[in-house]
Amino acid sequence: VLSKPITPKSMNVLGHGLALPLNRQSLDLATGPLINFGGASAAYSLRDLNGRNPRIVRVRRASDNHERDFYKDGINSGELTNWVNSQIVPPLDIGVLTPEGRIPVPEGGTSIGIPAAAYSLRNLSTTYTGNVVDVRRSSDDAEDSFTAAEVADGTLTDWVSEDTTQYMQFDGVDEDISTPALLPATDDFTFTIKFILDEVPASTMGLYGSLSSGSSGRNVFQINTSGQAFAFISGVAALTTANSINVGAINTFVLSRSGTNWSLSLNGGTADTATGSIALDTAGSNIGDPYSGINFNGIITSLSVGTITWDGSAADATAKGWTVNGSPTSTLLNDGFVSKWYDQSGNDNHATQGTAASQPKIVDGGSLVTKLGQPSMDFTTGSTMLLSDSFSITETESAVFAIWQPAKDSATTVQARNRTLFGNASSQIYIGTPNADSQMSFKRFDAVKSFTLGLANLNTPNLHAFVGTTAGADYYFNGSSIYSDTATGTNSIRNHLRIGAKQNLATHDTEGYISELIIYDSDQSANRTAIEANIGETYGITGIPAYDNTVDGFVETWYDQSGNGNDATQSVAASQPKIVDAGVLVSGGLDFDGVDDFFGLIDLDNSNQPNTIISVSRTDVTGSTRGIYGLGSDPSSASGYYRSSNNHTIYAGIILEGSVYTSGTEYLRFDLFNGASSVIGVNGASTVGNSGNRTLTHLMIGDSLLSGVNPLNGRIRELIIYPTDQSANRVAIETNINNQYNIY
Amino acid sequence: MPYLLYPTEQDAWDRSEEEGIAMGLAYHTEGRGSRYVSAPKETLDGLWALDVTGYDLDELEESTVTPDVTFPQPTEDLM
Repeated sequence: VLSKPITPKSMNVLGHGLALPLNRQSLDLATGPLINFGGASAAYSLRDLNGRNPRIVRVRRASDNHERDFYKDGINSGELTNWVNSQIVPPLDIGVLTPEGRIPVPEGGTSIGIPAAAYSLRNLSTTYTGNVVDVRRSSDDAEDSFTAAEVADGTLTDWVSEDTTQYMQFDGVDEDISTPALLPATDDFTFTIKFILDEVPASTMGLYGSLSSGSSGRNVFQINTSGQAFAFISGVAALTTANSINVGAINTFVLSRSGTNWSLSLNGGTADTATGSIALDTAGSNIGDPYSGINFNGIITSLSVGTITWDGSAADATAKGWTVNGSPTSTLLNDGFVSKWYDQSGNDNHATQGTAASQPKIVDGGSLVTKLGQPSMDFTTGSTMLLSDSFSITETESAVFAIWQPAKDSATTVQARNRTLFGNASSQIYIGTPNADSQMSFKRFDAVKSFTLGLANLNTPNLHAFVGTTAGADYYFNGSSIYSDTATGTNSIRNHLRIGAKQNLATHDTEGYISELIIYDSDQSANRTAIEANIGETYGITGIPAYDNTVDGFVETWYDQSGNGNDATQSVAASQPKIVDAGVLVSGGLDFDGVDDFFGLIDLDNSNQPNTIISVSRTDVTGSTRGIYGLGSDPSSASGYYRSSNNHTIYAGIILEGSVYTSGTEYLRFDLFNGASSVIGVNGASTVGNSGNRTLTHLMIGDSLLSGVNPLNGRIRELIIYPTDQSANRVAIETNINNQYNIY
Repeated sequence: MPYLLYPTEQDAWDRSEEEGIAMGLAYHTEGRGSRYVSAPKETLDGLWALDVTGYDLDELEESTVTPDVTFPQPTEDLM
């Protein structure tokens, strides 16, 4: 009975005698990759047989049925087992440890405890379906809410880009636009220019104005060193707004003239006004480099006066006959800022920021802000922070987990000082870098504890964890403890969370990135590694051990290294041999369960004998027939197996028994199907006889009969099929294999 | 082991694939790889038994699942 999932491969178009794709002269026959002697039909191993670091196996891990390919280098390096053991249960679903392991909460397990607040741009529970952020787009200040899926799938960035605004980036050096005088000499007008600055300028900065400082009716519009809008109209007045610019956001500068009345406002704030009459200069003007003030260094998104509207693009400026000087970049303004970071804990301790200039960025120039390959929030703009006034924890037993980059990219040691992950409103508790080079600190029980953490760990994103207990506190960096403290104190209540800042905003804000922050109001010592393992897995942080190495890994494909593409596959999950058993790489090859594990069928395009099959395998039982492989016009017609007589056996119509085997012992077999001159070779010795004359076309691995009654209960480390007699090369082949595995 | 019995092999494979979809096996999520959860075996009386260990069974299936299945005896030494 032919099992359904077995799909015979197309015939091997390359046929017999195809040489393996390697240079036999360059290889060490005794210890290097196994070279080819006349061309193998198929070659399966967990080592590199052709010297090209080929794909070895495709593995399915039992925890989530995810699959991926592994190369030779990934198998013994630990990459495979680490991947199989990856912690896929998100933090809010982690169950307490039981004798049966950690049963995820959605599957009936008992929760390790609900955090006081849990912020991320991913879902921290498989059952969480709510929004993770509210975002404001800078182009029109519209806001909307987004789920984790919408953050990840581009919905967020698409929305931010919906209302696109052209902008031009001026470098503050030589990039500007020469225009004719845009302001009418005597008519009424309303002049509006929109711009963004990353910081309040250190020197008064020009926005727009006349070219010449000597002309009558000259005018110049600027931002002064206090961030206020300023307009000088010669012969009338100097106007200064009371309010200042919003750093990192679009600012709107408006100067209007109505008869003799002049008015200047910034962002709709209270206008500064004056009266006077003057014929304005019409000799020419400049955007970004008027006659007074340093060159504009920032973004201008648009300018309008009367019937003139410039959309912020170089093309539009040129089309108007203006001269674009230098090479200012002109693109679309697509920034998005977080106004609300949702608490996923269920406690509704959402972190918010209503001030545009203090909102962290999540979309930058149309691109999602990412760190470690995952969405993140950019806190690099000064004084950005998120607040949760409803947040409250007690001080003694607490735990914090965060993906955090304290300082900006490439920050110096000085720049990495005083960068805060979180604190409470009175800075009674916090985590942040102190005012010292290359250190981290936390505050607990009114005492600040500082300890060394190198600069390279402060200007890059990493996993930070803090666990406070009744016996003290520990700080962990990427899973490793870097500081322990035994201080105890009053178990005070601490309220009002600030993310990215503490009390002194001006000098203690994070200037890096925060991707995830989970704060428990409980001792999570027993669960720290479980939480860290999932965070580490999500953000690709290496070196964090899996918390619970009990996951199995199964081989879906054992790749053929012969070059013929005769990959061995098994699409039925329950019939896949095991390569990782309870978190540990199986020694001695792939483990076949003796019930229903096998690979097949593989169409080898072999035809008539002789054929040579070389294998490294073992059976874990005696007294019953266990197939290593089946071959033939259908696989049941010929085979190599451990026979119930306890003898090594081959069969192609006639049983040919070799030496006695014992269970649990690995053997190197050299099986030659060659009619009356067949050989069953075991560990270098030989038994010669007649095994029959059947053809050896189709291959199955791990059983010898299609009916599935002889499943191997043991392991196969290597299996190579030659459509030829390899007797002349037997010693060399066996030497290579034995040197590799030290079998006999 | 708990088994569900089907009159045809195809019916059993269909149920196995249905469970594979529910489990998110790679064939159904990535277009290649594992497709079925378990393989049906023919019983002595010509039905097809599917090992449903770990399956999410509906009420009807729960009521019909059985551990009592007889398979043909092995014939390994006949070859």
